[in-house]
Amino acid sequence: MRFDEFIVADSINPNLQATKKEDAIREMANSLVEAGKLPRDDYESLVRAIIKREELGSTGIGRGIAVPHTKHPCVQELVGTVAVSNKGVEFNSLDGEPVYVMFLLISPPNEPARHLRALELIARQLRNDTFCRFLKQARNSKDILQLLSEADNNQFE
Amino acid sequence: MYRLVTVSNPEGLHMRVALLISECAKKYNATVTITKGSETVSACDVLQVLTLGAVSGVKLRVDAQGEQASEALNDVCALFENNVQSSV
Repeated sequence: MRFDEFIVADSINPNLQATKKEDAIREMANSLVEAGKLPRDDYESLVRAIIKREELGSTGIGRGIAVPHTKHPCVQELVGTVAVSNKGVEFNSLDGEPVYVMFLLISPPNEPARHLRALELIARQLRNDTFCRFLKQARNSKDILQLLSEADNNQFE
Repeated sequence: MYRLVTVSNPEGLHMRVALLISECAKKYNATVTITKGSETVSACDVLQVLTLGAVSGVKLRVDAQGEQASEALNDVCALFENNVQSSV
């Protein structure tokens, strides 16, 4: 799988304003609504589902990264967005540290394999210190898209 | 020592299972690895476990070495055998 198969370019947020988990999730979900990829009517239900998933265990998996996600019938295919925070987001991460890079994934209820493929891709790329560092340092959407594109072209391996 | 396991969860090796595996593996004085095909990763690192992208039905090999290898192997493998209820 490639980032350009599910990351919505118009929803990328290089300057997340929120510093709390729920606010950050709301800001990211709203960017997908604004990009026309999520129905506005489903926004609250979607945010609640993502937060409910977080209550089962934080998706802040350390190294300043979080991958909040949920399954929701409002999408027909996997959609995702990425946000970078300069300030850091309190996310109850495994390592207790703030989060600076967040990938939000919304999957249709019956596509666990594509969800896993997306997680695999994100995990594989974020293991690369250079990719991770450059992403945290990115300050505009164009730079983030460029990094994702370079990752899609195996330039960080 | 090692054991072969099959991912039985219909959602595959999703993030919560990966986290449980890494937390479990870290508890023991043992080196635990998981192999899928030609790829071997540390069971202690959630990012590495996620890179396996193991869907339901995939067969994996879990290896453990060290003082508490037997206990670690039992506990880690139990996580594959007991379905962790998911909302992915």
